[in-house]
Amino acid sequence: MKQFFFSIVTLVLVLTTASAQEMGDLLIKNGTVITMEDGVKENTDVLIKQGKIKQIGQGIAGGNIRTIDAEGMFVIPGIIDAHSHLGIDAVNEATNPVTAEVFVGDAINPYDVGLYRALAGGVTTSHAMHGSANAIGGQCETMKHRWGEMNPELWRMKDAPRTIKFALGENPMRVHGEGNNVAPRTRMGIEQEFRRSFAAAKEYKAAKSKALSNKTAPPDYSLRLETLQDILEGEIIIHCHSYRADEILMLMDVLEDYGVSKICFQHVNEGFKVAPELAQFGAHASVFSDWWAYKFEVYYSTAYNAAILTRNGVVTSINSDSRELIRHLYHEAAKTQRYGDLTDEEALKLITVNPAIQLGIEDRVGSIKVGKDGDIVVFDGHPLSIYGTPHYTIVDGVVRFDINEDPDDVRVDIDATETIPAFYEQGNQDHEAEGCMHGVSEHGHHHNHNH
Amino acid sequence: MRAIKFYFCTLCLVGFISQMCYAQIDYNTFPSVSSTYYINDVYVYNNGFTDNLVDIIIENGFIQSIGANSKKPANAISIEADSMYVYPAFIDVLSHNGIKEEKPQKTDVKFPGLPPDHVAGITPEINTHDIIRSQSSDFSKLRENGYAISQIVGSSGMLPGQTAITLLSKAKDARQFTRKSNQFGQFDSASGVYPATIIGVMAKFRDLYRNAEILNSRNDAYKKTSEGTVLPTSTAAITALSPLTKKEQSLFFSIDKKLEFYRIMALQKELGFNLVITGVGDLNGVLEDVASAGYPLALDLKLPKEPTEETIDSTDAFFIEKSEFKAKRDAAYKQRLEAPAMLSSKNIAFTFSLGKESGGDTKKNLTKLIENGLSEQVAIDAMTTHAAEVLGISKVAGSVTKGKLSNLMITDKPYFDEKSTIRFMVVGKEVHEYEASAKEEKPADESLDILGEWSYEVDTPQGAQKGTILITDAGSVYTVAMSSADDPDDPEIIDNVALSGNELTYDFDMNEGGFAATINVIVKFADSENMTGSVSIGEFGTFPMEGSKISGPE
Amino acid sequence: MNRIKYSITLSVIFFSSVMAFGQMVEKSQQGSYLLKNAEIYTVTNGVITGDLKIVNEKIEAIGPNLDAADAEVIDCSGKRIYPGFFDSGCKIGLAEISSISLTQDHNEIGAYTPHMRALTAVNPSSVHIPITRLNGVTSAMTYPAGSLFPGKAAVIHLHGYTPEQMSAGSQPDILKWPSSGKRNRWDKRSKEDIEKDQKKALKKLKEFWKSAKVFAGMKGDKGYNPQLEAVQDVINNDAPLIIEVNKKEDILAALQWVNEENINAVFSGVSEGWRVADSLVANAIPVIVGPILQNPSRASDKYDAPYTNAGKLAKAGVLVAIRTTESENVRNLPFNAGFAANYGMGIEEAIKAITINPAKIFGIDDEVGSLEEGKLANLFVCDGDPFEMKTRISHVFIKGWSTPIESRQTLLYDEYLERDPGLKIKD
Repeated sequence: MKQFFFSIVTLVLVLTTASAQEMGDLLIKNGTVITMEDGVKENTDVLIKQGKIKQIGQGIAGGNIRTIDAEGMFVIPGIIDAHSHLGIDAVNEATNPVTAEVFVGDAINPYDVGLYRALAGGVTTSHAMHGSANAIGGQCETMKHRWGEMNPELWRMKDAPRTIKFALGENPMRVHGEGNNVAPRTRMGIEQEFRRSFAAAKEYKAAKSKALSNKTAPPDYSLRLETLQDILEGEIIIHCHSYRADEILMLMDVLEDYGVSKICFQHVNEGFKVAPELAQFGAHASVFSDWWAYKFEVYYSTAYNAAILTRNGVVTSINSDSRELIRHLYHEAAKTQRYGDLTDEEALKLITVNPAIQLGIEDRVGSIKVGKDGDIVVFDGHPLSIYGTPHYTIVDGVVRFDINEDPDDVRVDIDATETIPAFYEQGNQDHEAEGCMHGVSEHGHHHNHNH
Repeated sequence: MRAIKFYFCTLCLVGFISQMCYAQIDYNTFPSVSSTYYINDVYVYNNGFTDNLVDIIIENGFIQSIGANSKKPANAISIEADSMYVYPAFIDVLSHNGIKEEKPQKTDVKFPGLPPDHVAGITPEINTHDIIRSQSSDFSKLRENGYAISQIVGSSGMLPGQTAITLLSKAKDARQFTRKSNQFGQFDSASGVYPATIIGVMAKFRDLYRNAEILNSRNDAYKKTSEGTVLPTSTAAITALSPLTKKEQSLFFSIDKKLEFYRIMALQKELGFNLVITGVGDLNGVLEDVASAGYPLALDLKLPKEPTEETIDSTDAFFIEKSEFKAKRDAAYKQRLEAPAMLSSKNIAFTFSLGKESGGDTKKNLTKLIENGLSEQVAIDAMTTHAAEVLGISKVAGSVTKGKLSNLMITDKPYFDEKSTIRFMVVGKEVHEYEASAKEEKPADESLDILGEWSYEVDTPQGAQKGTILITDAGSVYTVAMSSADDPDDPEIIDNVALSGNELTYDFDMNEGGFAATINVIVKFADSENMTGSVSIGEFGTFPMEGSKISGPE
Repeated sequence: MNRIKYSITLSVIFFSSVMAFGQMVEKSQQGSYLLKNAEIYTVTNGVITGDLKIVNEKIEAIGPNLDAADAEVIDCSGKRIYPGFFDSGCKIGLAEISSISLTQDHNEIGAYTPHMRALTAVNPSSVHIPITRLNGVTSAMTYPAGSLFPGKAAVIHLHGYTPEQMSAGSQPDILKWPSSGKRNRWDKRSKEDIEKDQKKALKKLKEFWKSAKVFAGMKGDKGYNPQLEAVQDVINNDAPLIIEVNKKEDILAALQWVNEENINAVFSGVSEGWRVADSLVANAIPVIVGPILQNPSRASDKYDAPYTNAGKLAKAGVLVAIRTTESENVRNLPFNAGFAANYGMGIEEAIKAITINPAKIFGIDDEVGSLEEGKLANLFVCDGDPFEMKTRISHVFIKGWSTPIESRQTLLYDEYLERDPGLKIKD
């Protein structure tokens, strides 16, 4: 009698126990290691200790730490997505064309299963961005996909540089000009948002220094102006949503006037038209592999964008901006081989080394190198082949996705009142109304690609 | 429960009214004869009860004495509570009862990025005492459920106002008994204007706070060189936040979900204010972090609705998957109910807040938490002593102690007894009396013949569990022997089971492999041949059962 | 619609028609072609090493050492030939720029619009079309997606100057089965509200169908009733009804309905098809699955549920076609099939799901879907596995027309790879 009830008790207990650790030890044996640093090494081991890559070579003994047999498999650095909106509870503070003070890292939500699905696609780091409703949007967060950690603080990539979202063109024009009948309604107006903001930040700084030297009380505090000032001082990398060639040139001119140099243009569908200018400025580009025609300003796009930018010397990455694409960025990168003949090395850089550079974290991640973080993906086939499948995704030496131990239901935040998780009719939509315009009231529009 | 009598009697108050009503007099009331009360022979809660009966004398809203065989003062009115149980009345640490909130006017804001503060939900300057309704059924509801004090504040916006620590008296003038007040905050964004999101709210909070600090420094500077200089000015909101930045007030912050705990913790660490977290509910997976953070906590007295017992069709192709979902959900529910006990086992003190609740579920929900491991004493402490500590009013409230406010809850049986009723609420100078409840036992349905052997089948995630129940007569009650088909020779024998209506309810304990649970069985007889019912295994789940009679008594 | 949007839209229409003329430097050619020494992936008859001869719109012969006669010879040594890929559900030609509603022609207003014909609104000059062809996609079912009965889809070939030239004949009716699920992640309706909405919509469906059947039985002059008229082909079992249905419970309910009404049905979407594969097999319902590259339907679903759905259904014995639901990116059809292939379907079945299976479903398998003598010359030549990104497509034939291997996107590449002048001139 009791035995039977006991078995029900154990069933329930097994389902509710979970554990996670932050830094791991791991040995990956005999893989084809695509280092993105030092060529491709056959039959090579990678040893990770305390979350860091300790040794790369042959015949490494790991002692009694977890070992993955990667014979016949491909070992690549963890994939980095330079443009995502996963894992945050708010995307757009769309009420003002300038909201430099807001910070999506304040609202990390590590319970979104989309993050696990990104891990299952080999993505170990993502750049959770503010949306594109405002000319100067909010600050963004660089996150490590430590799935299972319930504390959002543990998802921050500590010491990653601060970044902020800017946006040009249709989105800010639609939200503020069309939506609220408040400037900016044009690309002309958008330029002036940057100029007046930077001018105000300089005045603020001057007023603060004056108060300091006169030993008087400081001026009214403005977190917005403080942040803008940090941009002028080069402490924050700008990531600017942009599409058209003219607006890209405009922002580079503004930044030149204010002596700001750290910028990565996001989407930048017409970047290919001004690739020499981008390269000369030292601006980076983070693009879609093939998205176009979802709005007028991307009608004259080409899937060859990444290839043209790369060939012109622009540090380029391929991003997702989507909870769907983030699950197969390796495939998105591979598209540059059909559209522009990029080599394997060039194509893989688009999702590893280059996004790391764009986020200012290239000394930590992006390649397999001794001393870097133990962020690794193990594929059963070549990662640029459609038949390459991620089998293990490792963050800081901890296996966060293992295809052989992958339960169907991975939710970590269970509703105590609902039994069967809701069904969503996603197949009916061309894309989800996701991404950059998330949280803006117009997102209910039937056919929406507001990226 | 309805207050049947209301003693309203304070000399000063009567004097006040008579002055006020000098020109016009209402003969529907008459002045109270006395403000002294005498309670004879009661048990007083003091970390539990002893067998000692004592008497309590109350004067002018304060406990004047507690002791055995006190003499009833000549001017005292007796409260007829002989042999009843006296508890300190409950204190609600934060709720939105009894106030009249002005919704922000729906004016067209030209610049959504720069709305007036009140439209943005930023009104920390509001003194909640000013907006408490003079007549509110909310307060009588709170009293009925054992409360005498509540910290009240508005519910809309990120900073709705300064709280009112309120005596829940019927008399309006008696409510404000302390000058203490706190700020209240929540991650409640504005609609269509700044701050429209959680990230906007957090940025705005930093901005307001830093400006309040700057205002302090300007005021300090002004004090030094006040002659001839201009008085520093600021917005009403920033001025109102100054005491918070000086730690003269605390921020009572209500969280809506567990992630908000981390968010307010981040702000607190950055800015350094005194923080009390209220509305703490679901802690599944984050309990350790909350426990170790060290903030005073007020747990949400609202509990999630008990999961409905849906039966999952075992012919469904996804029976296993659904069973797992159900097991996960049930586990989440159980963890939610066990959270207070878990905190308590880590020696984390906490209190409770009602938030948007009216207090009607207080006993029911506390009882649920006690069933899930919370001790009765910790529950009472949380509702009384510790609540007073969190509000900083321990000197005058939170226990039945000489010199403190006479805020008493008097019950006819110990509070957590299923059949107990609150018979009197003493709220300062007021005494409210309530009727005893009349719960009756259902007589056994005489028409049923349940004696004999029954077969049963319990539908569980691990398949049907079959066996037999043998019911034998033992005088006015029954003896039940329940056995499993797998092990028919080792039945559980339960004595003294009474039939209530058509229901037979019994339980037995299981303790296997280190896991203990109580198995609770309910058998409902449809007639003398068929029955349905359920089997609950501790908190692991309740499973439906059905069965029929195999044979009559031998 | 405000004035700004309106004027943008006008300019788009203007530009797109200009660009449609401007984008093709070469013209398509039709005539006789001999594709020599290829690996011919016939789909229905294995892989044949040899030649394939196209004369006018048809495949004239397949075999070793075919006589070239006056045909243009294309050396295909080391190359493969596949039947043109077929997207079984997309918006190509019906939508140009998603954010501009005036360029959207697939969602008419009203629940009962079965008489709307997608073919009417297919824009042969859509810039999407040449871009799509370059990845070997030659045919598509492009469909209206409004409300309950959104209209008739158009099965088209991606070549032609008029809708009629593009039409492959079939114009199946579409039904959007009322869903008991949430529309998307922002659907805030409660469980009860969703249930109520679904009940209401089901009632609408059944009332309409009842009337349509009465209409079918009427004799003589039935009067002008295009809505009821439009579904008569389904009622007479002359055409399939494509039912968009995704959630398990909805699929089962739709199954029951089509059985009760004796309807020749095809289910599309079917994202939870894998949960009820047995019922679909038992009822011999063909399915159009996709997109494969989409998110799982429930938070509790395994991450690869959409990748594996098509394979699971095919393994169970369901006739499976794959779709993208895209407009501008129908070119990703081969990669949707590629993911299905990699996640359990296998390459061969995945190829079928975008060639012969759709042809069967739309009743045109005597014309397209495989490389067979006498079928339309819808095919492409490539240098490897067509699911692999590295593979290059060198020739695309549609109804025998050799289409130019360029699009606005390749032309932009050619122009901008080495832009001249390079850097801006600064003084």
